[in-house]
Amino acid sequence: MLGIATFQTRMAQTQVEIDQLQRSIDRARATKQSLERQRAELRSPVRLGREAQAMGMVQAGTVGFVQVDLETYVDAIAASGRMERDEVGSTP
Amino acid sequence: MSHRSRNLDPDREGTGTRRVVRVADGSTAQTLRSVGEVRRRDVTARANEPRRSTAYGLKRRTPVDVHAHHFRVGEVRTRMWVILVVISLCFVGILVRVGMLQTTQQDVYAKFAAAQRKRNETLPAPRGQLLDRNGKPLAISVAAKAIYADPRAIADAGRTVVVLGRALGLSAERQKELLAKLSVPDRSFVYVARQVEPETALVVENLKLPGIGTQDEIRRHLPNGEVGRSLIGTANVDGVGSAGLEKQYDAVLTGTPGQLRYTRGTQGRSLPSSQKALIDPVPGNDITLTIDLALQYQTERALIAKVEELKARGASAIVMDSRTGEVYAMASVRRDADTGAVRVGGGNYAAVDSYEPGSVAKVITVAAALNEKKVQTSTTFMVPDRKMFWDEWLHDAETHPTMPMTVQEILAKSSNIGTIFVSQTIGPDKQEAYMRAFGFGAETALDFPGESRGILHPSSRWRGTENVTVSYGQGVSATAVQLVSAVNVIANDGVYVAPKLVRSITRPGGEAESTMASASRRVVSSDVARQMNLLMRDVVCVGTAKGWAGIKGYTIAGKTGTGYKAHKNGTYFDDEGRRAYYASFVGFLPAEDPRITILVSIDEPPPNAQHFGANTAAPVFNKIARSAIVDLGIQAPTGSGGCPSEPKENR
Repeated sequence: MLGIATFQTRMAQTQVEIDQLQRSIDRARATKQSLERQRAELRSPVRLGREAQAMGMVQAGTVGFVQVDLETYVDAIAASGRMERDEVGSTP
Repeated sequence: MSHRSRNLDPDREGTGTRRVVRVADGSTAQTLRSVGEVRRRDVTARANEPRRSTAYGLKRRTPVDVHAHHFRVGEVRTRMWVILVVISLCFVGILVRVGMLQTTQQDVYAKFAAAQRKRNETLPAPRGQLLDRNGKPLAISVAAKAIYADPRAIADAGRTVVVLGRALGLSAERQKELLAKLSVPDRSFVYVARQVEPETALVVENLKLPGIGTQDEIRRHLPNGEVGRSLIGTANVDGVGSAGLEKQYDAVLTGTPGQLRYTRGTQGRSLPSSQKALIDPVPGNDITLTIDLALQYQTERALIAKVEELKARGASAIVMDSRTGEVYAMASVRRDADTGAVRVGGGNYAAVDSYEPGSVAKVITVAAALNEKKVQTSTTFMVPDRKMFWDEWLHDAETHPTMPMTVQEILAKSSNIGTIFVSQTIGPDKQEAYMRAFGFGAETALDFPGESRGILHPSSRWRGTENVTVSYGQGVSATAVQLVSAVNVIANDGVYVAPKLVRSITRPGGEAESTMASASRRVVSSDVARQMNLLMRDVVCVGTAKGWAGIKGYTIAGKTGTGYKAHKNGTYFDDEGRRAYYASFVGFLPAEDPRITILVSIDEPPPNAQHFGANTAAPVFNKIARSAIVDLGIQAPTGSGGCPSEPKENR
């Protein structure tokens, strides 16, 4: 009898823990969603435009393009640490 | 069970003071001590006799000895037996009922019990996201809560409403409305608020108000505010698309709700050892659009600025990939009739509103005549500034003497009379056929909800001046999407490519599946497209758009258009005799190797000198094209230098 009682108590305790974990998962999921929403809002061009304007920035005028030779391009990318030099060279 | 007589028969057994009272069965019940006691027994016996009537017919009240009950021993026993029998019957009844419940009605009551303990919870499935071409979210689903009330469980509705009003910020009017709903008897469910932030719902939950509960919901959120709203559309509080792309792709975006089954205890918690059955909700599919968020934003800003400046009614713009038909931006803004504020409209007017395109349609007429080899770009016509057709005077926008004009000049100067002459070389039937081939009179492949097909009657039904005005875009109507797709034929080497808004669809946890390439068809020859390309460069360099649309370092080809707006009275004049216009500009760049085609239409610019496509729509084109060059990295081909004599920068 004592064994059965202990077993039942243990089961009840585990169930409570499972319920608590489930609630934690739900909360974490809600937090993740909330953070994703905040990130999207922060990256929105509306906000960026407003912030830039507040900082006194203006929209760029005519854009100019310059021709860069491949060697210079490869060096610049490799120097940035984003890719190895060999990898850059293999890109078209 | 033995029965004892109620009528006592005193049997004198002696003359002394003691008497013995015998009951009917002969046994001695009790010994009485005195004559007085015997008398009292007599009185009691008389009381049991039937009552006699008085002289007046009334029953005489017979004196009753209250102490006599103490001596009715047989009566008490009888009552005890009766009670015993009743209790036994009840007990037997209960046993029978329990037996029935456990046997014949077991299933029914087992189900009732299970229904009380078992909980079935529907888990809402997140609606799929709408993303721009670079994966930036345009519309996402976020967790929300609905707050509901069970009026039957609320003791003090007034106080509950006040507390809820404070927690949720409900207006006085809303509180009054809610109180009325909570006061309806026998109502078991009332929504207090929907789509509430989870944090706010938690505040309400912590109030622990009787009869107030919360449930999970999904809310649609546009992280970029109004940007792209006219295109994206809306999904209602139940997560059903009700307008725009949300409506068009509702089946793709809608997920499958999940379900949670468990046994709960009195506190609402799940019981230990109870089986939890969880069916996970399956989110809807994500849709990656062809839209570029940054360019969409810039396009809307440019439109809003111009509409505010002109005090126009609204405007639309479309930026389209010249080769693939992918739409980079599709914007519609409109002035609010009540507040006067210009904002991104709730409707995608670029697809659902059709209007008479005016001179932009001349591109089709001239291309058709060139393709039919009825004219060449150098073919010359003697063109007056006004001429009568079917008893009606038609005229060019500007007065000029009758003069020779080449096809090139007719297009560059946008001569209506000259265009009529060009169209007369092919006739109405060919004119109609080419307009249909360019996409007029039929919905585009976008299949946008509520998309208009415009109006293009069969040429056999053209009446009077309609036979000639269609050639310069009056008497025919088209949507902005139709118009940009039509002009894009020239940019795309004479091939019509259907506009496209969806780039790929991603299933939950799966790879993105690209949508099919847009359908295409050849409309005019490559050679004609090249000739038209050159003619349209002249429009920007020396023609009607000179000084308005050009960008230094880029060759731009385009066409201006100013169409009369048809009024509800069936004429081009309102009730006060005024005209209203649609001013447009369509162009593509770089003209040598077109990457993008842009259309801008201004709805009802002021009817003064500022109502032409050149000075209203072309500057907006210029602004949007500059943004597109940056956002899409459009580089002019080597050797491209704009016009032979570079146009002055946009004013």
